[in-house]
Amino acid sequence: MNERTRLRQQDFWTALTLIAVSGFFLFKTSEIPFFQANAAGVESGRWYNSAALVPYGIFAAILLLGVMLLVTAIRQGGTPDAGQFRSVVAWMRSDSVQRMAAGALVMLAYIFALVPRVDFILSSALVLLALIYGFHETRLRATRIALLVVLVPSVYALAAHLPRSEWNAHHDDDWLTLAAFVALTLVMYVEIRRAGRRPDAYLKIAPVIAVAVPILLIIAMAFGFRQNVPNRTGLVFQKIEYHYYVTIKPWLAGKDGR
Amino acid sequence: MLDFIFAQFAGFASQFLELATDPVTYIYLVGSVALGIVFGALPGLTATLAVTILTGFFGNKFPVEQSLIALIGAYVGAIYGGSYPSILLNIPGTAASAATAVDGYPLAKQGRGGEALGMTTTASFIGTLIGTFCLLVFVWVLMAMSKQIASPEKALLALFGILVSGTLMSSDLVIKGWIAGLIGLAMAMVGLDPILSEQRYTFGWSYLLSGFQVVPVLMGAFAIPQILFGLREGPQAGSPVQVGRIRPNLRKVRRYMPTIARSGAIGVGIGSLPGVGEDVSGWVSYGVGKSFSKTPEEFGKGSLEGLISSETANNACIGGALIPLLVLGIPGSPPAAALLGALMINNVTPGPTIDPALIIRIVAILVLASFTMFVLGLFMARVFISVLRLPQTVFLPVVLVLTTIGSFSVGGGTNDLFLMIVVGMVSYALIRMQYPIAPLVIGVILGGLFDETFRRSLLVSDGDLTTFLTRPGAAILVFLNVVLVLVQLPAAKRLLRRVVRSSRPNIANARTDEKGA
Repeated sequence: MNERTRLRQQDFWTALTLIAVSGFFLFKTSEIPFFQANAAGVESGRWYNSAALVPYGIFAAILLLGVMLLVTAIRQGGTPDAGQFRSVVAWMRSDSVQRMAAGALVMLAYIFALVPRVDFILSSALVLLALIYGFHETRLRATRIALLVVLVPSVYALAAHLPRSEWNAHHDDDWLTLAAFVALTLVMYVEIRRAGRRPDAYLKIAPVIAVAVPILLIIAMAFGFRQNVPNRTGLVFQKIEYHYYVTIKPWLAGKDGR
Repeated sequence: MLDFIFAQFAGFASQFLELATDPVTYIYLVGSVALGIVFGALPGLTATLAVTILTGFFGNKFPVEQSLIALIGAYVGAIYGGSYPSILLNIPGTAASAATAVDGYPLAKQGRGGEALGMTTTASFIGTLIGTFCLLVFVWVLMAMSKQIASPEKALLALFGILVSGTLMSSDLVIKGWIAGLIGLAMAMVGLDPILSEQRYTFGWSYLLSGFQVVPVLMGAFAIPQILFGLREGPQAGSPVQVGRIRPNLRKVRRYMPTIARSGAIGVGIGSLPGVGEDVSGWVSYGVGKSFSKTPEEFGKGSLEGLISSETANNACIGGALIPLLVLGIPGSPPAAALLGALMINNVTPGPTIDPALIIRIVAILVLASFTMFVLGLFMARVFISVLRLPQTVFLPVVLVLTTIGSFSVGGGTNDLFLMIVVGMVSYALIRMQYPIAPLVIGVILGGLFDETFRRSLLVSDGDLTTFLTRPGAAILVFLNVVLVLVQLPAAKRLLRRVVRSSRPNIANARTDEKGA
């Protein structure tokens, strides 16, 4: 199947999605008062004052363009056929798609499970190491191991501390993430050698990069740029922050004679 | 008129001196220009990403004047830095330097990589200065015109910006660009509406009451797809070819000055079109350069003229892209869209109400950034070339952590991270299906302006839609918007072709008559 036909087949499904989504949002827009616009508690009844006016235009335009896309896709050979299903299955089985899916899953686990609940330095170190090992190594086995090691503490963090009220309460998921990082470091070196290869310079220093980058970043952001950082009660950052304010700052102040 | 121009240059000189005599300026400039060059040089990272990441770092905790030094420095550096891998590896570092590879790589293969880099550095430097000069001179003309702009014109300009960027940035079907822009506009509708404070599409989530924040959307749309594409492709890095001595040949620079001037003008002109950007200007300038050249046959085989044509234009485009951004609040390119996001989170609203002193300061920063780029480019090129050996599987994970902390810090919450990743995944899918992503971001940024000004126009006219036709400026913009849409429709295209075809015999007859007469 040529690239253009595949693109039009994707356009066919995208057009259907766009039509459905715009239909849904047109329905949701109908819940916003249109001919009875309410300004500061006063019924004005002017259509042009309504908060629904522009959204109606936007979603109607998306609906129209969705239909146009559908027509174009059908005209240019994008209608689904039996071959499409087979090619989608083959596409999903390809190494590059599996790598992309693994990368997306690691990112989703990092953002939705780890960052809100686990110490930022530990979670970032684990994800950095997993991505460098899992994707710098071109073998799918390495990618799968990296994904698995990230998913274990992520699933635990989600299962054990799902509600927002618990995000900053416990440290057990921090310890599990630390253990996962150490385990991945060891597994990485062993697995590469068992595969009959030698880790290159980047893989050799990957654990150092993985730890140094988030530490430097968080110190720069929290104390240099004075910005908010994730999970201030995390296992490692809590100690850094404590020693910054209790040990380093008073020492610097004493040195300055303040 | 001359007095006015002298006054502007005097204002510029005072801002320039103030910045140039402050050592802090150089700390920001050297750091950000170097970071920009590294981002530009690493294939997979872009100028937009450099500006976006720094936006996350500086947020709104720093004075906007200082943030601007870093952001503009990174912008200038990244557009220039893209030429390194184009010339040395034949892999464009950014889309803006794609045209540079056509002649840059053949030059490097001939052992003239150093000469190519020297000429590129000089051309980029002069290009940035041309763009900056135009920004200083023309921004005031447009500012004077923009004082006449009221709600109807603002609404139509916002719409025009989204439509133009959608039209010009689509690599497949034009409607895909429009769909991307409309998705951005729809995203901007989430939250409390700007006139009645009516809740729209919040689904009971309090975070959405204030609408989608610009920084997580920027990070998601520009950074996450880049990371996913890079990881999917695996480690990609190459050993650059031998470079040789990097120095600009002044005699050759003088010889190519007409090319530099023409390419600079093209870059500024294209940059000032909303949403088009550096990549288009590079290619257009390359094409024009070839048609003007006395030796067009050398283009593509290692022509310095071709190299200069594209490199001057993409850097001149920076100044051009800032003109609509500062005057109308409509970004001229994707990195300018990121810059707009940075200005907005600092409560600076570009447009007719912008502080004129800020514009002069931006011009002064651009000049200083281009000098910094020139010096770093000539004296530290070898350091930046060594960056090219880094495989993307090592630096892209670092970019993920950078974007995460940047997005979190600006918004101050994990909700921003959730938004970033969702926008990122959707953007990845859209890019894979050849939807341009810049119109989506421009739609998110301009959506609020469009909604508010469109409804305000109708409020003032008491619902009379002819308000968009009775004002001369608005009527012109309605015409432009309609024409922009119509010329893309197949039926209109067919009609246009028929008109052209039917007018041909008339023209031919007219010519015969003229000859006969």
